[in-house]
Amino acid sequence: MLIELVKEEVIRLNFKAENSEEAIRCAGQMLVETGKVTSNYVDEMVKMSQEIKGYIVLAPGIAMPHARPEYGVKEIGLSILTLSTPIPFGNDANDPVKLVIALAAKDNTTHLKLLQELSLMLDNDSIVEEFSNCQNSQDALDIVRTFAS
Amino acid sequence: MFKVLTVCAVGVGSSLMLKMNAGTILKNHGYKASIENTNMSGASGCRVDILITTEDVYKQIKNVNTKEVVILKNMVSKKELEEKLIPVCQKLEG
Repeated sequence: MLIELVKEEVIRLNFKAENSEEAIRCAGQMLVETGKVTSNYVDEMVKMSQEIKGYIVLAPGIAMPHARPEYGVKEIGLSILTLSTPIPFGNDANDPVKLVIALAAKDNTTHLKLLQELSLMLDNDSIVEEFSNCQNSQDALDIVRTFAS
Repeated sequence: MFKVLTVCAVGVGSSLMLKMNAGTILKNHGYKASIENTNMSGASGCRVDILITTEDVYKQIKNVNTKEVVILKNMVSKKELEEKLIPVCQKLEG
């Protein structure tokens, strides 16, 4: 599932973000451009991240911005963004963030499978470093491939 | 049989990951459980045995009746979840 959704168009490496909003918008824009979500969904991801500070930071160095499907998810999808400089997202335990995975979720079984694979991939002490060390999208795809079933 | 509720802010991402991971862990330890996931407003009024969430979300949940609370730092770490959840199950059983 993961490997079917992660293509070069949804990977961006070493993005220089000034703050968490810029990072979320960059990751969200890839989902807009690939027809997965509306721009309203991206606004909602940003809003959510500001309302409940730090909640999208799932694990050390990893943020997973997302919002409810009804705010503009057209198709299930995700994008992968690494930041050239780690950015604080307002989560004391897991800041700063280096890896951003924007999620366009739908409540269905495909979604379950995706989350399962994603959680497996992210439950890995070296995953942030592995993505940060990627030279190009192909390297990132190789990492995803090792966790996809 | 434990009633478990996993909660995140939105209710479609991390709470679902927690639900799946908690299900696997409890099964591996031989515990029977019914696990639901929800968002913060959906948690209001729930009566459960174990509530699993993060600190940021827990601060904003109101009016939940639960016997035990498991607060996680890392929402994808099965290790952290197992280390915190199993002692709580043992306590509830004891």
